[in-house]
Amino acid sequence: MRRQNWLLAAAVIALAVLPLLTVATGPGGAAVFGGSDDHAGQLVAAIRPDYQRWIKPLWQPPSAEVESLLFAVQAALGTGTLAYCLGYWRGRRRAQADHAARD
Amino acid sequence: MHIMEGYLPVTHAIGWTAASLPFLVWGVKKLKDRLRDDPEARLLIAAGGGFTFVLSALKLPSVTGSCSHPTGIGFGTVLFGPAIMSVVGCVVLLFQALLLAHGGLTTLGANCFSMAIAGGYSAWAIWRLGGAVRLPPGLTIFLAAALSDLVTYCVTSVQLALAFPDPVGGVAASTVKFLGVFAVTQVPLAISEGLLTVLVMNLLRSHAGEIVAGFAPALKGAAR
Repeated sequence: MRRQNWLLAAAVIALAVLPLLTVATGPGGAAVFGGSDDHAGQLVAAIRPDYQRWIKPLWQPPSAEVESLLFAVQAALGTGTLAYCLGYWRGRRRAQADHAARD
Repeated sequence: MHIMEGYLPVTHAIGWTAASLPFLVWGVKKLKDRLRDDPEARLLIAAGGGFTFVLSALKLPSVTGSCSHPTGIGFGTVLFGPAIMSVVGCVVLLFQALLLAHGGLTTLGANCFSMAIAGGYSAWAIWRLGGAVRLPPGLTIFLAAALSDLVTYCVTSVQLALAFPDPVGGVAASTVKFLGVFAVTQVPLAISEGLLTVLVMNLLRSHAGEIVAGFAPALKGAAR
């Protein structure tokens, strides 16, 4: 199980790193690894050049820095929650095992 | 990547919201029942929500030269079913729409339908089907997570194609174009999501084992 977990983690990292190595960077490093939703936006503009976004987001992060902060917060909250649960169950299982051993 | 704010015409935005609502109402009812009958499930649902939160914050580079993120829906679906997971998924989408300007409020119904509902129920169908034909649990979890991730982005492509049919080829040609943007990018990410889901499920099994299997029937099969 432990070996399988290391292999799984390595495969995920390889899948994320390989595109960075194999996909050629555009001239002057232009417009690569942008969001696929931006590409979809461009495609909408190509299909219906007259389409106007009829509503803008209520609030937008003022800069890319602030946006990256919020994404980091999101990831941290998620990881924290998951790790808390795992730790809680692990501790409880251990406590049960100790209790059973003492009886 | 979800449909951005304002990128669905009003009628489509209302239509997808209406399509999602019954699933969410059903999900909230199931969630309430579950928490009443089984307060221990609170942590399990938190773990499923946490996983979705992390995965949808991970914008990963893909072979197409653009970035997208996994959905994390398969994990929670396998643990406590698609009805409750659809509510959890919707909460994550709402967070991203309000605080990150990612997705949007008018497109929330459509995004909820593609990720939380189509993604969740397809993961559930694959999980059950894999169990029925006795595939190994690890492989079944991988397939459920990876394919539900792909299903999400295929549904997104169809949603956009319905709103923006190609002037020549109509909805079908437009679907192919949007699939070219979303689905191809998503293939390696879906594989990553499948692998990560198996990894976290392994951790859950080795650290929580029988405790969690008690209230996540899906884990009983996997916990051998």
